[in-house]
This record gives sequence, C-alpha cells and structure tokens, in this order.
Amino acid sequence: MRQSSLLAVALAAAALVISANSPVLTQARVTAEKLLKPGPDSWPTFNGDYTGRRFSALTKITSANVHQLSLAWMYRVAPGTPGATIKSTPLMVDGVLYFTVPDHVWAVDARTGREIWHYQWQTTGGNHLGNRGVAIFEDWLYVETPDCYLISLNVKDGKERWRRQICDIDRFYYASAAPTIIKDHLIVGVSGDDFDIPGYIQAHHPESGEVQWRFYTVPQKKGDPGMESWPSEEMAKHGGGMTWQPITYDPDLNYVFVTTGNPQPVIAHKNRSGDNLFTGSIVAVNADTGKMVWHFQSSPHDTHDWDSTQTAVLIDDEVNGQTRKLIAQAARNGHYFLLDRTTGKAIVSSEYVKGNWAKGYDAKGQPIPDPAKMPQIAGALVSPNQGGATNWQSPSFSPATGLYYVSSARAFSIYYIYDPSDNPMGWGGSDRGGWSESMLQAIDYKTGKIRWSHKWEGSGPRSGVVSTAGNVVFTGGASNDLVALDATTGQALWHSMLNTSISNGPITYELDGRQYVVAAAGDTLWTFVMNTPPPVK
Amino acid sequence: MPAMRHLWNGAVGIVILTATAVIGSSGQTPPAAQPPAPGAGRGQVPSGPRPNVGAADRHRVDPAGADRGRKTYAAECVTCHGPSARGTERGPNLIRSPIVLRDRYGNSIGPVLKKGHPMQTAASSAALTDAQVTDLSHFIWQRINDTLRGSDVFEPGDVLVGDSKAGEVYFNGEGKCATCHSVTGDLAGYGKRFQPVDIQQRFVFPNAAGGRGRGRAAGPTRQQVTVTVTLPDRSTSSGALVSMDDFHVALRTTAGEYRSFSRTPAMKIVKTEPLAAHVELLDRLTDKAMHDVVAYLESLK
Repeated sequence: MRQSSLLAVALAAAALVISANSPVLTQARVTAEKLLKPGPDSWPTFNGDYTGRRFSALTKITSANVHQLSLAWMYRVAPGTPGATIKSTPLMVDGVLYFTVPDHVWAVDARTGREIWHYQWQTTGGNHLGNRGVAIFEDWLYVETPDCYLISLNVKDGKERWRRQICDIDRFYYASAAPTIIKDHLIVGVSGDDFDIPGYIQAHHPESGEVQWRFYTVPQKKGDPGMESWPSEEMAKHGGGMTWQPITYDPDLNYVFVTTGNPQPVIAHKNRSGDNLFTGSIVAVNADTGKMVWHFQSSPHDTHDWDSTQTAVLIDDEVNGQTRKLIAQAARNGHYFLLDRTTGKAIVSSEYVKGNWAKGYDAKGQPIPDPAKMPQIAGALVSPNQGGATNWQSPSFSPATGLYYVSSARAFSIYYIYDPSDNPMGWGGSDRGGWSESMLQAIDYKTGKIRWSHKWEGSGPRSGVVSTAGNVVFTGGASNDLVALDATTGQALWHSMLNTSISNGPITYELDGRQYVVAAAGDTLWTFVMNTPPPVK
Repeated sequence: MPAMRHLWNGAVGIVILTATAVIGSSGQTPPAAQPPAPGAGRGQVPSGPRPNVGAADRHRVDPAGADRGRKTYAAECVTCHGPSARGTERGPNLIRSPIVLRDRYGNSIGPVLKKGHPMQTAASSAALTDAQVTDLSHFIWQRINDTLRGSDVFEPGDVLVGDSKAGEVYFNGEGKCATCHSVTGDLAGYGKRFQPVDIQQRFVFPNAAGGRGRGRAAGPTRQQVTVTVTLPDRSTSSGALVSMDDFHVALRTTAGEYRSFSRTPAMKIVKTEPLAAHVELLDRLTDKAMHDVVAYLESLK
C-alpha cells in the first residue's frame, strides 16, 4: 500500500482540476435512490442500472458524429501485475472510475486518467481468471477476491474497512462477481466449477457485512424445491450452479434475477439424471428473504459447460397502454428467451445462433437436449462449443431500436467423455479443437429474430456491448479495436486500434458536458471523448 | 510435457485387480479394458490441480508417496470408500469430504485416524505411522486432482467405433472428400501417421488453431487464406491475407511484399478460404459419418 503518496496524488489531482476551472472532483455518497435512478453522468452499478440493459440515454455521440471521437486518456495498470486483464466494468461516480483486476482495485480520475488510489489484496490463492468489478454504496466500495473474501473499502482512499469470508477456497470455490447493492442488501455470488460444489448467492448488510440470507441454486436437503430433478440428495447438494455474473433487479416486484451456472459433474453426467434444477436457469428471488419465486431453466440437464449466467435483462413493453414486465436472456447455449418476469412464463424461445444440440422446445419453452449430442466416448460433433454462442460478455438492450445486442459466436467442437464410469466427478470429459466465427447479433426482442448480424473477420472478438440513444453501439472488433456501429443497421462507423482485444464491457458517461466512452483492453483502460472547443478564458 | 496416465490407471481399483473380491464389493468397477498400473502412478512428475485453482498452500501430490499410499488404501480403506475414494454404500465419499479437502499432508486426516477409524484388517488406524498417513493423503489428493478440469489423466477413449466401408462410401460420395483428397496421394498411409483421435480432430477441424474449444486442438498446419484487392482503377493486389476488418485490409504478396489498404465502397475484395469445404461440411456431418470416415482413414496403413 502506498496510501500516503496516493493521497498526495489525489490532492494534487483535485488541485489540478480546480485550477482548470472545472467542476471539483468530489466523491459524494451514493444513495439507494441514486442507484434506483442513476443519471447519465454516472455508471454506478455493473450494468449501469438495475435493468441490465447497458443502455445510455446520452446523445452527444451519435451515429452521425461518432467518427469524430478521439482518445482522451489511457491508464495502464502496473506492469507485471499478475492476472492484469481488466474484465471488470468500471463504475463511474462523481468523476471517479473504480475498477478491478483480481486482488486489485483502482480509483482513477474519469476526466484525466490520473490514479487516485490503488488497493492491493494479499491473496492466499484461488482462481485468478478475472474479476467483474466493484459495488458502491454511500462511502464504501465492495469487491470479491479470488480467495473467497468480500472486502469493503473507503471510496476516498481505498482503505479496508472489513473483510468477510463468503466461500471456501479449500472446496475450490473462488469469488469473482461484482457485488450488487439492493436497498440494505449487499448481494454476492460465487464461482468455481472445477469441483462438485453447490452455487449460491447471499446477502450481507452493507454496513456490518453480516450475512442476511443465502439462496442455494441447487437443493441441499430432502424437501427442497427441485430435488425431484436429481437422482439423489448427494448429487443435488454437490450439483454446481455457480452465480458468477451480477444480478438484475426489479424494485417494483422486489425480485432479484439470478442467472445460474452449469451442473456438476460438468461433462460426464451419468450419475446426475434429470433436469438438475436450478442449474442453467434464470431464478427470481425475493430480495429481502432470499426465497425463490419462480425459475426458468434455459439449459435443462446441461452437459456442455453451457452455464446460463448471461445477464437477464429487464424490458418494459408498452402494449395498448399497458406495461408488460419482461425479462430477456441470450443464453450461452445459443437460445434467446423472452419471459414474463412476474411469472417466469416463456413468451418467446428461439435460436439466435444456429446450433445442433436441441430437439425443439418443451411446453415451458425450454430447449429439449438431444441425447445423441451429449458428450460421447468416441466424440460428438456439437455446436456451439464449450465457449458457447455467447459467454460472460455483457449484452445490451436499446429501447430506442428494440434490439438486443449480443456478442456471439457460431462454433463447433467435439465433446468427449473421459470418465466412462457410473460415478464420474468433477469434469470427466471436455471438448477438443473446433472452428468458430464471431459476430454481433442484433435480436428483435419481441420476436427473437435476427434483425442484423455483423460478422467479424476470423474468430473475432468477444467483448461486452453498450448501446446509446445516439443510435450507436460500442463493442470490441476483430482487430484489437473498439468499434462503433450504427445501432439500427449494424454498419461499422468508427474504430480505434488498441493494444489487444477489448476485455470488458464498454461504458459511457457525461462529464462537464462531454460524453466519454471507456473500454478495457488487457491491462489498459482506454477512454475516448467527443471533443468540443476549449473554453474561452 | 507431463507423462499421461489414463484416468483409471492410478485408482486403487486397478491395483486391486489382484484382490477381485474387494472390487466385487464396490459399486464403481473401472473399465476392465485398461491395463493394470505397475505402481508407477503419474511417473515422476509432481501433480496437482491447475495452478490457478484452490488455495495457494493446497496439497501437492508426491507421486511416489501416492503410490505407497495406494497400497495402504487397498489394504485398509477401499472396501468402504471405493477404488477412486468416491464412496460406496459402506462408506462415504472421501474426495468431497471437508476434512480431506482441508488436509495438507495428513494434518487433517491424521487426527481422525489416530482417534481410531475402522479398517479392513484387524489393524488399528491409530497404529498407522505419520509417513503412512502422509502417503494416504497423497493418494487421496491424487484422486481429487483426477477429477478437476484439465486433469492430466483426461484422455479420449476409443474413437474407432465407425464402419470403415461406410466411411469409404461417404469419403467418395456425400462427403465429397475425394474432390480434394486422395487415399493414394496426400492421405496415403494416414492411419500410420496419426492416432485415431487425432485423425478425427484433423479431419473435422483441419484449421483448429482458430477454434475456441477449451480442449486442445489437434495441431494441424494452418492453411493460408488468400485475398485479392481490386482498386477503382482496376489495379489488383493478391496474396496471403494478413488482416481484415471493416476499415482496412492487409496482405502479403508472393514476393513477400506487405500491402495495406483503407477499405472503400468502390474497392472489391475477394477472399479465398482453402478450407471452405470443411467448414461447409460441419453443418451436414453426422456423428455416424464422422466416425465412419475416421475408421476409413485409420485403415489407410
């Protein structure tokens, strides 16, 4: 820690800002009200707001002028920082960006890229694959660590307030999700599918860190909902269903929407007959009690590592003056689902990327797996591959275009069973090799049909997406570039070549009347801005 | 590269092929087709889970210790806990046991055994030496590691399940393979050159380096995509495609010259994919046809 020197830098940065006659960099409290209705001058949660839309109402940057976008600043994390690929979505509050890589949190001036403080966690291990980012509430930040801790930091200087263990590293759990503040609940998810362990989300009190409730995504004892979908209590209670993507939330219903990971054992599945609830599902949970309200399983009895942790996006549909509460997901298995988010009933089920593993849909609108396309000892040619038709990359929904934008891939691989025993555990198989092509799919959210598809050269990028009221979609391109597309047509409008491919979901915000776009590529945060004439002195 | 060992070779079930009565009592009989392990385990390569999972101080398996522990396990534990320590009707799963998962070199299971734990023989578990307990810990942790993603025991089984004759028909007919390939030319002796699983991967994904599967690619030679760029003045440049996106295209000519262009609507770009036929095949290739062709290619000795 370099707290004192960092504080000096922070003060210097503030002084510079003041001398430039710009609004003072202050770090004000983030209230529950602000999280409910964030303004375009902020990005205070993982998805920008609770809906998961990643849509900005800003219109300074448009499809007509985006070609004028230019670099504002770049910030590279300390060279040599282990695992320093920025997969987190930065939060932007009161002119400060907060972002992470595993074991590290940074606060950076959103106007200049100047580092304000840097916090480093002393790890005891765990999977350092990635960290999705922080949550912010009042004067505090919250972040998960690879070795299963939830820590609270002071937004002003990054000093640690408390730490709470949220999972068991000895059982091969790790923690990577961005926490989410819902009223007086700090909701965290857990990661890890190397070993047969149950997934859960749990709520902590944001002030004390004490646990308020825990919701297991697979049954833990006889009588628990979903137990009938497992062959035994032993298999159910070790059945996976990790919760490594941030939740979405409907404040009117007070439902948290949890998206769950693949069942365990992952590939070899002989000992877990049944649908394996509530893995591969969207689950509505009461935010105050942690009790399940409804579920929809987008990947029943998954055998391909296609967790369904992809963001479940809230959409409000106006029909004849009536608002329909909907929720949409483009799942890793290549299927798009539009549900009534009050009941969980399916309205639309369709393929957004052509695959070969499902035999249609059941009466609930859930895909019916083809047993022939489950992993085989001699191999089964399957599409999509293990990476999926999409993965962790955040989608975006634009109410302006009615399109749901998904970073997608059409891919094949051959799935093998390696452990042919009657009682496999852990993985017991995998896929090998493959061919893939990548594209950004724009899905008509009402019908599930593809409005346009923008293909990338080669195997292409896999980055998150942000859409704006300026009719622009920003995402990663095929040439290590940040690309702006026309949100209505998919035409490429602008790009900027970066050091490597985009590694997070881009965000946009307005400061001092100027609209910024921020994206991470590897260990570097790149920020672009629509320039305006300098102020007259 | 670490020595590869089949999933079942290290488990006690193989070792106790000489103790069939014990195997018979287990609900987890491993495949009989696998050869017995000569006590070699994973060879001399220390093994463990992927380096980025689990606690930094997690148990690191000593293969020699695991081999010694296997003997103790076979003599005293396997009847109840099963050949892969995954439990039986008589005893619980050990690899999911919190006590085992906390264990480091016997420091967690040791106290349990010292207190007295039923064993297969009349011996007392409390009489196990510290070294024996540590070796048991190595053995059980090796069983845990055998289940984790990317375990070095994970290898494909028998992929030769197809009909060679049917594969020949497909090769020369519906598959259109003979359009580009010859079993007396480029594929002559193919079955002698590659293992069956590699034949399968190479046949289906000849350019697998571009794949996203987490499994390993078969490692074939990447075939070069070529491109021809025609400018509005009708001048052309052709060569190996270096890069292309919505805004630029770059190529290298046969003379080795690098050229890049900013794309315009008036520019004509024609890309040639040498493996287009293989990509096209993916949508219509059935698993039966895939296995039949593999059997046919494997027969080309």
